[in-house]
Amino acid sequence: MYIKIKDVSIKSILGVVPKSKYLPLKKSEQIKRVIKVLGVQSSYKTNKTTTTSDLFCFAANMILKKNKLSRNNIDILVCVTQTPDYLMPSCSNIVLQQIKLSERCIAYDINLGCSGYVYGLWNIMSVIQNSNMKYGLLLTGDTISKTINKNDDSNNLLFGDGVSATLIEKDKNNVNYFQIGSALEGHNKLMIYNSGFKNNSKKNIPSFFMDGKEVFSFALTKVPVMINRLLSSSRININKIKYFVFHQANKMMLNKIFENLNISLKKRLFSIKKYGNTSSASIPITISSSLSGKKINQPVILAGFGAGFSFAACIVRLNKAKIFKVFKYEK
Amino acid sequence: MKNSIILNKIQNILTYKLNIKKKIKPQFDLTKLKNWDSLKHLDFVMCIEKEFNIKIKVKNIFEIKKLNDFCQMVKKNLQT
Repeated sequence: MYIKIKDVSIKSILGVVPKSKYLPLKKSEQIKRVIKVLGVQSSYKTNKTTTTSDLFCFAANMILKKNKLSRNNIDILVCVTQTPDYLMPSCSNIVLQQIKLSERCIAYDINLGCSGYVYGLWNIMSVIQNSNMKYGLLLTGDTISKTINKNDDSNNLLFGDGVSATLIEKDKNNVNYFQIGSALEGHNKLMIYNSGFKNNSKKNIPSFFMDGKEVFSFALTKVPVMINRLLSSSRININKIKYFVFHQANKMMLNKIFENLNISLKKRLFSIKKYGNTSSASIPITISSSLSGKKINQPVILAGFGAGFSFAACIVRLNKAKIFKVFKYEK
Repeated sequence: MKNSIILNKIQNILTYKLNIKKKIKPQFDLTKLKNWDSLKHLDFVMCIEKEFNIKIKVKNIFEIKKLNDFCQMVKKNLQT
Protein backbone atom coordinates (compact mmCIF):
# COMPACT_ATOMS: atom_id res chain seq x y z
CA MET A 1 0.00 0.00 0.00
CA TYR A 2 1.23 3.48 -0.89
CA ILE A 3 0.80 6.20 1.77
CA LYS A 4 1.78 9.87 1.78
CA ILE A 5 2.24 11.60 5.15
CA LYS A 6 2.54 15.36 5.40
CA ASP A 7 3.62 17.84 8.04
CA VAL A 8 5.88 15.50 10.04
CA SER A 9 9.64 14.95 9.92
CA ILE A 10 12.52 13.15 11.61
CA LYS A 11 14.18 15.42 14.18
CA SER A 12 16.94 13.16 15.48
CA ILE A 13 18.37 9.61 15.28
CA LEU A 14 20.84 7.63 17.33
CA GLY A 15 21.86 4.00 17.79
CA VAL A 16 22.86 2.02 20.89
CA VAL A 17 24.66 -1.34 21.10
CA PRO A 18 25.83 -3.34 24.15
CA LYS A 19 29.47 -3.06 25.24
CA SER A 20 30.50 -6.67 24.63
CA LYS A 21 31.86 -7.29 21.17
CA TYR A 22 31.43 -10.78 19.73
CA LEU A 23 34.34 -12.11 17.73
CA PRO A 24 34.40 -15.84 16.94
CA LEU A 25 37.27 -17.56 18.75
CA LYS A 26 37.91 -20.10 16.02
CA LYS A 27 37.69 -19.06 12.39
CA SER A 28 36.19 -22.29 11.05
CA GLU A 29 35.41 -22.72 7.37
CA GLN A 30 31.78 -21.79 8.13
CA ILE A 31 32.78 -18.59 9.98
CA LYS A 32 35.14 -17.57 7.17
CA ARG A 33 32.17 -18.02 4.83
CA VAL A 34 29.92 -15.83 7.04
CA ILE A 35 32.59 -13.11 6.97
CA LYS A 36 33.10 -13.39 3.20
CA VAL A 37 29.52 -13.87 1.96
CA LEU A 38 27.42 -12.15 4.63
CA GLY A 39 29.95 -9.38 5.28
CA VAL A 40 29.94 -9.54 9.11
CA GLN A 41 33.17 -9.32 11.10
CA SER A 42 31.77 -8.61 14.55
CA SER A 43 28.53 -7.99 16.41
CA TYR A 44 27.56 -6.86 19.92
CA LYS A 45 25.88 -8.96 22.61
CA THR A 46 24.06 -8.03 25.79
CA ASN A 47 25.14 -9.57 29.08
CA LYS A 48 22.69 -11.69 31.10
CA THR A 49 21.20 -8.76 33.01
CA THR A 50 20.73 -6.21 30.21
CA THR A 51 17.33 -6.39 28.54
CA THR A 52 15.73 -4.72 25.54
CA SER A 53 13.97 -2.18 27.77
CA ASP A 54 17.29 -1.30 29.47
CA LEU A 55 18.78 -0.45 26.06
CA PHE A 56 15.58 1.43 25.11
CA CYS A 57 15.73 3.53 28.32
CA PHE A 58 19.36 4.46 27.69
CA ALA A 59 18.63 5.36 24.06
CA ALA A 60 15.55 7.42 25.02
CA ASN A 61 17.36 9.33 27.77
CA MET A 62 20.29 10.00 25.46
CA ILE A 63 18.22 11.37 22.57
CA LEU A 64 16.18 13.63 24.88
CA LYS A 65 19.38 14.94 26.48
CA LYS A 66 21.15 15.51 23.16
CA ASN A 67 18.14 17.41 21.80
CA LYS A 68 17.57 19.31 25.07
CA LEU A 69 13.96 18.17 25.05
CA SER A 70 11.86 17.86 28.20
CA ARG A 71 10.19 14.53 29.01
CA ASN A 72 6.81 16.29 29.09
CA ASN A 73 7.15 17.09 25.38
CA ILE A 74 6.80 13.48 24.24
CA ASP A 75 3.19 12.86 23.19
CA ILE A 76 3.61 9.32 21.85
CA LEU A 77 6.11 6.51 22.52
CA VAL A 78 6.21 3.42 20.31
CA CYS A 79 8.57 0.49 20.94
CA VAL A 80 9.15 -1.96 18.09
CA THR A 81 10.64 -5.24 19.29
CA GLN A 82 10.31 -9.01 19.10
CA THR A 83 12.40 -9.59 22.23
CA PRO A 84 10.43 -7.67 24.86
CA ASP A 85 11.24 -8.11 28.57
CA TYR A 86 7.77 -9.66 29.00
CA LEU A 87 4.72 -10.41 26.89
CA MET A 88 2.85 -8.38 29.51
CA PRO A 89 3.38 -5.49 30.20
CA SER A 90 4.64 -3.92 27.02
CA CYS A 91 8.18 -2.52 26.76
CA SER A 92 6.76 0.94 26.10
CA ASN A 93 5.03 1.02 29.50
CA ILE A 94 8.23 -0.07 31.24
CA VAL A 95 10.27 2.56 29.39
CA LEU A 96 7.68 5.31 29.97
CA GLN A 97 7.79 4.69 33.72
CA GLN A 98 11.57 4.22 33.93
CA ILE A 99 12.43 7.42 32.11
CA LYS A 100 9.48 9.31 33.58
CA LEU A 101 7.55 10.50 30.56
CA SER A 102 4.20 12.15 31.21
CA GLU A 103 0.92 10.36 32.01
CA ARG A 104 -0.77 11.84 28.96
CA CYS A 105 1.80 10.17 26.66
CA ILE A 106 0.37 7.39 24.48
CA ALA A 107 2.59 4.28 24.73
CA TYR A 108 2.39 0.90 23.02
CA ASP A 109 4.50 -1.81 21.35
CA ILE A 110 4.61 -3.12 17.81
CA ASN A 111 5.69 -6.74 17.30
CA LEU A 112 7.80 -6.60 14.14
CA GLY A 113 11.38 -7.48 13.22
CA CYS A 114 13.47 -6.23 10.34
CA SER A 115 10.69 -4.21 8.68
CA GLY A 116 9.84 -2.63 12.04
CA TYR A 117 11.72 0.66 11.74
CA VAL A 118 9.81 1.81 8.68
CA TYR A 119 6.52 0.51 10.11
CA GLY A 120 7.27 2.44 13.31
CA LEU A 121 8.01 5.66 11.42
CA TRP A 122 4.78 5.29 9.43
CA ASN A 123 2.81 4.61 12.61
CA ILE A 124 4.04 7.60 14.64
CA MET A 125 4.00 9.95 11.64
CA SER A 126 0.39 8.99 10.85
CA VAL A 127 -0.69 9.66 14.43
CA ILE A 128 1.10 13.02 14.60
CA GLN A 129 -0.24 14.08 11.18
CA ASN A 130 -3.82 13.44 12.32
CA SER A 131 -3.63 14.96 15.80
CA ASN A 132 -2.43 17.97 17.73
CA MET A 133 0.63 16.08 18.94
CA LYS A 134 4.05 17.64 18.46
CA TYR A 135 6.71 15.07 19.39
CA GLY A 136 6.89 11.29 19.05
CA LEU A 137 9.61 8.91 20.21
CA LEU A 138 10.27 5.70 18.27
CA LEU A 139 12.42 3.02 19.90
CA THR A 140 13.30 -0.04 17.82
CA GLY A 141 15.54 -3.06 18.28
CA ASP A 142 16.12 -6.44 19.83
CA THR A 143 18.34 -8.52 22.07
CA ILE A 144 18.08 -11.40 19.61
CA SER A 145 21.26 -13.07 20.93
CA LYS A 146 19.22 -14.32 23.89
CA THR A 147 17.33 -16.65 21.51
CA ILE A 148 20.34 -18.02 19.59
CA ASN A 149 22.00 -21.27 20.62
CA LYS A 150 25.45 -20.52 22.09
CA ASN A 151 26.99 -23.21 19.84
CA ASP A 152 25.57 -21.68 16.66
CA ASP A 153 28.67 -19.67 15.70
CA SER A 154 27.30 -18.48 12.34
CA ASN A 155 24.10 -16.96 13.67
CA ASN A 156 25.87 -15.65 16.78
CA LEU A 157 28.21 -13.69 14.53
CA LEU A 158 25.52 -12.63 12.04
CA PHE A 159 22.92 -11.38 14.51
CA GLY A 160 23.83 -8.53 16.84
CA ASP A 161 21.92 -6.89 19.67
CA GLY A 162 21.15 -3.21 19.31
CA VAL A 163 18.46 -0.55 19.52
CA SER A 164 17.75 2.90 18.17
CA ALA A 165 15.92 6.06 19.20
CA THR A 166 14.27 8.40 16.70
CA LEU A 167 12.56 11.68 17.51
CA ILE A 168 9.74 12.65 15.20
CA GLU A 169 8.16 16.10 15.17
CA LYS A 170 5.35 18.07 13.59
CA ASP A 171 6.82 19.97 10.65
CA LYS A 172 4.56 21.95 8.34
CA ASN A 173 6.89 21.85 5.37
CA ASN A 174 7.64 18.19 4.93
CA VAL A 175 6.21 15.22 3.03
CA ASN A 176 7.08 11.53 3.56
CA TYR A 177 6.21 8.65 1.22
CA PHE A 178 5.64 5.05 2.30
CA GLN A 179 5.18 1.72 0.53
CA ILE A 180 4.17 -1.02 2.98
CA GLY A 181 3.02 -4.62 2.61
CA SER A 182 2.93 -8.18 3.91
CA ALA A 183 3.71 -11.40 2.04
CA LEU A 184 1.04 -14.05 1.62
CA GLU A 185 3.36 -16.80 2.88
CA GLY A 186 6.58 -17.31 4.83
CA HIS A 187 5.63 -16.73 8.48
CA ASN A 188 7.33 -20.04 9.39
CA LYS A 189 10.61 -19.26 7.61
CA LEU A 190 11.98 -16.81 10.17
CA MET A 191 10.84 -17.55 13.72
CA ILE A 192 11.60 -17.69 17.40
CA TYR A 193 10.19 -21.08 18.39
CA ASN A 194 8.79 -21.49 21.92
CA SER A 195 8.47 -17.73 22.31
CA GLY A 196 4.68 -17.72 22.72
CA PHE A 197 2.01 -20.11 23.88
CA LYS A 198 1.85 -22.55 20.96
CA ASN A 199 3.10 -26.09 21.75
CA ASN A 200 5.04 -24.71 24.66
CA SER A 201 6.19 -26.38 27.85
CA LYS A 202 8.44 -25.30 30.68
CA LYS A 203 11.28 -27.37 29.20
CA ASN A 204 11.29 -25.47 25.93
CA ILE A 205 13.42 -22.38 25.62
CA PRO A 206 12.96 -19.73 22.90
CA SER A 207 15.07 -20.69 19.92
CA PHE A 208 15.83 -18.76 16.77
CA PHE A 209 15.21 -20.35 13.38
CA MET A 210 15.91 -19.00 9.88
CA ASP A 211 15.48 -20.65 6.47
CA GLY A 212 18.24 -18.69 4.76
CA LYS A 213 17.31 -19.69 1.21
CA GLU A 214 13.66 -18.69 1.61
CA VAL A 215 14.50 -15.38 3.30
CA PHE A 216 17.00 -14.61 0.54
CA SER A 217 14.49 -15.41 -2.21
CA PHE A 218 11.75 -13.37 -0.49
CA ALA A 219 13.95 -10.28 -0.15
CA LEU A 220 15.33 -10.44 -3.68
CA THR A 221 11.85 -10.83 -5.13
CA LYS A 222 9.94 -8.27 -3.07
CA VAL A 223 12.34 -5.45 -2.25
CA PRO A 224 13.18 -4.18 -5.78
CA VAL A 225 9.47 -4.24 -6.70
CA MET A 226 8.59 -2.32 -3.52
CA ILE A 227 11.27 0.34 -4.18
CA ASN A 228 10.18 0.80 -7.81
CA ARG A 229 6.53 1.15 -6.73
CA LEU A 230 7.49 3.71 -4.09
CA LEU A 231 9.49 5.78 -6.59
CA SER A 232 6.78 5.62 -9.21
CA SER A 233 3.91 6.49 -6.81
CA SER A 234 5.81 9.38 -5.21
CA ARG A 235 7.01 10.57 -8.65
CA ILE A 236 10.51 11.03 -7.27
CA ASN A 237 13.35 10.28 -9.66
CA ILE A 238 15.80 7.67 -8.35
CA ASN A 239 18.67 10.05 -9.19
CA LYS A 240 17.35 12.53 -6.61
CA ILE A 241 17.89 10.01 -3.81
CA LYS A 242 21.07 10.69 -1.85
CA TYR A 243 21.37 7.38 0.04
CA PHE A 244 19.69 3.97 0.13
CA VAL A 245 19.65 2.62 3.68
CA PHE A 246 18.33 -0.92 3.69
CA HIS A 247 17.92 -3.39 6.53
CA GLN A 248 21.35 -4.99 7.06
CA ALA A 249 20.33 -8.59 6.40
CA ASN A 250 23.56 -9.65 4.72
CA LYS A 251 25.99 -7.98 2.35
CA MET A 252 25.59 -10.27 -0.64
CA MET A 253 21.78 -10.00 -0.51
CA LEU A 254 21.95 -6.21 -0.27
CA ASN A 255 24.40 -5.91 -3.14
CA LYS A 256 22.16 -8.12 -5.33
CA ILE A 257 19.18 -5.87 -4.52
CA PHE A 258 21.24 -2.73 -5.19
CA GLU A 259 22.50 -4.18 -8.50
CA ASN A 260 18.94 -5.01 -9.50
CA LEU A 261 17.96 -1.38 -8.85
CA ASN A 262 21.11 0.01 -10.54
CA ILE A 263 22.14 1.91 -7.44
CA SER A 264 25.70 3.23 -7.49
CA LEU A 265 28.21 2.12 -4.86
CA LYS A 266 28.52 5.58 -3.26
CA LYS A 267 24.79 5.63 -2.45
CA ARG A 268 24.78 2.27 -0.65
CA LEU A 269 25.20 2.47 3.12
CA PHE A 270 26.36 -0.48 5.23
CA SER A 271 26.98 -1.15 8.92
CA ILE A 272 26.76 -4.95 8.92
CA LYS A 273 30.55 -5.40 9.00
CA LYS A 274 30.80 -3.96 12.51
CA TYR A 275 27.33 -4.46 14.05
CA GLY A 276 25.87 -7.50 12.23
CA ASN A 277 22.15 -7.81 11.54
CA THR A 278 20.47 -5.83 14.33
CA SER A 279 16.87 -6.46 13.26
CA SER A 280 14.62 -3.37 13.47
CA ALA A 281 17.56 -1.25 14.66
CA SER A 282 19.75 -1.93 11.63
CA ILE A 283 18.48 0.97 9.48
CA PRO A 284 18.90 3.67 12.18
CA ILE A 285 22.21 2.14 13.36
CA THR A 286 23.46 2.35 9.76
CA ILE A 287 22.35 6.01 9.57
CA SER A 288 23.90 6.71 12.96
CA SER A 289 27.22 5.05 12.12
CA SER A 290 27.52 6.47 8.58
CA LEU A 291 25.97 9.94 8.76
CA SER A 292 26.44 11.26 12.32
CA GLY A 293 27.07 14.99 12.36
CA LYS A 294 26.31 15.35 8.64
CA LYS A 295 23.58 17.40 6.97
CA ILE A 296 21.74 15.45 4.30
CA ASN A 297 19.88 17.77 1.98
CA GLN A 298 18.50 15.27 -0.56
CA PRO A 299 15.88 12.62 0.33
CA VAL A 300 16.89 9.11 1.37
CA ILE A 301 15.17 5.76 0.90
CA LEU A 302 14.87 3.45 3.90
CA ALA A 303 13.73 -0.16 3.42
CA GLY A 304 13.08 -2.97 5.89
CA PHE A 305 12.10 -6.56 5.16
CA GLY A 306 12.03 -9.77 7.14
CA ALA A 307 10.04 -11.76 9.69
CA GLY A 308 6.45 -12.27 8.71
CA PHE A 309 7.35 -11.94 5.90
CA SER A 310 6.70 -8.21 5.92
CA PHE A 311 8.25 -5.34 4.02
CA ALA A 312 8.20 -1.55 4.14
CA ALA A 313 10.06 1.32 2.49
CA CYS A 314 9.89 5.07 2.71
CA ILE A 315 11.31 8.25 1.25
CA VAL A 316 12.14 10.71 4.01
CA ARG A 317 14.21 13.85 4.38
CA LEU A 318 16.93 14.10 7.00
CA ASN A 319 17.82 17.74 6.28
CA LYS A 320 16.58 18.86 9.72
CA ALA A 321 17.66 15.73 11.54
CA LYS A 322 20.42 15.72 14.14
CA ILE A 323 22.17 12.40 13.68
CA PHE A 324 24.30 11.16 16.56
CA LYS A 325 26.90 8.39 16.74
CA VAL A 326 26.25 4.83 17.94
CA PHE A 327 26.53 4.74 21.75
CA LYS A 328 27.45 1.75 23.91
CA TYR A 329 25.60 0.70 27.05
CA GLU A 330 25.53 -2.18 29.48
CA LYS A 331 23.65 -2.51 32.78
CA MET B 1 34.80 -20.49 -23.96
CA LYS B 2 34.34 -24.26 -24.40
CA ASN B 3 31.94 -26.19 -22.19
CA SER B 4 34.72 -28.44 -20.96
CA ILE B 5 36.83 -25.47 -19.84
CA ILE B 6 33.89 -23.90 -18.00
CA LEU B 7 33.10 -27.22 -16.32
CA ASN B 8 36.72 -27.70 -15.31
CA LYS B 9 36.90 -24.21 -13.79
CA ILE B 10 33.66 -24.76 -11.85
CA GLN B 11 34.90 -28.14 -10.58
CA ASN B 12 38.09 -26.44 -9.44
CA ILE B 13 36.02 -23.92 -7.48
CA LEU B 14 34.28 -26.78 -5.69
CA THR B 15 37.57 -28.53 -4.96
CA TYR B 16 39.83 -25.65 -4.03
CA LYS B 17 37.51 -22.89 -2.80
CA LEU B 18 34.79 -24.96 -1.16
CA ASN B 19 36.98 -27.88 -0.10
CA ILE B 20 34.74 -30.53 -1.64
CA LYS B 21 37.01 -33.47 -2.27
CA LYS B 22 34.41 -35.66 -3.96
CA LYS B 23 34.45 -35.60 -7.77
CA ILE B 24 31.16 -33.99 -8.82
CA LYS B 25 29.55 -35.20 -12.04
CA PRO B 26 27.91 -32.64 -14.35
CA GLN B 27 24.41 -34.01 -13.69
CA PHE B 28 24.76 -34.04 -9.90
CA ASP B 29 22.45 -31.84 -7.82
CA LEU B 30 24.75 -29.86 -5.53
CA THR B 31 22.07 -29.39 -2.89
CA LYS B 32 22.22 -33.15 -2.29
CA LEU B 33 25.80 -32.87 -1.02
CA LYS B 34 26.30 -33.45 2.69
CA ASN B 35 26.54 -30.12 4.61
CA TRP B 36 25.53 -28.11 1.55
CA ASP B 37 23.52 -25.17 2.87
CA SER B 38 22.31 -21.80 1.58
CA LEU B 39 25.49 -20.08 2.79
CA LYS B 40 27.71 -22.54 0.91
CA HIS B 41 25.50 -22.13 -2.15
CA LEU B 42 25.90 -18.32 -2.01
CA ASP B 43 29.66 -18.69 -1.59
CA PHE B 44 29.72 -20.94 -4.67
CA VAL B 45 27.70 -18.37 -6.66
CA MET B 46 30.09 -15.59 -5.54
CA CYS B 47 33.11 -17.66 -6.60
CA ILE B 48 31.60 -18.31 -10.05
CA GLU B 49 30.81 -14.61 -10.50
CA LYS B 50 34.40 -13.72 -9.62
CA GLU B 51 36.02 -16.46 -11.72
CA PHE B 52 34.12 -15.61 -14.91
CA ASN B 53 33.56 -11.89 -14.18
CA ILE B 54 29.80 -12.22 -14.60
CA LYS B 55 26.69 -11.30 -12.57
CA ILE B 56 24.27 -14.16 -11.95
CA LYS B 57 20.64 -13.12 -12.14
CA VAL B 58 18.72 -13.12 -8.87
CA LYS B 59 16.14 -15.64 -10.11
CA ASN B 60 18.90 -18.10 -11.03
CA ILE B 61 20.79 -18.04 -7.73
CA PHE B 62 18.89 -20.84 -6.00
CA GLU B 63 17.11 -22.29 -9.05
CA ILE B 64 20.25 -23.68 -10.64
CA LYS B 65 21.50 -26.72 -8.76
CA LYS B 66 23.32 -28.97 -11.25
CA LEU B 67 26.87 -28.35 -12.48
CA ASN B 68 25.73 -28.70 -16.08
CA ASP B 69 23.12 -25.99 -15.59
CA PHE B 70 25.73 -23.72 -13.99
CA CYS B 71 27.94 -24.27 -17.06
CA GLN B 72 25.11 -23.35 -19.42
CA MET B 73 24.30 -20.28 -17.39
CA VAL B 74 27.95 -19.14 -17.39
CA LYS B 75 28.19 -19.73 -21.16
CA LYS B 76 25.03 -17.72 -21.78
CA ASN B 77 26.34 -14.91 -19.56
CA LEU B 78 29.68 -14.82 -21.36
CA GLN B 79 27.97 -14.61 -24.73
CA THR B 80 25.75 -11.64 -23.82
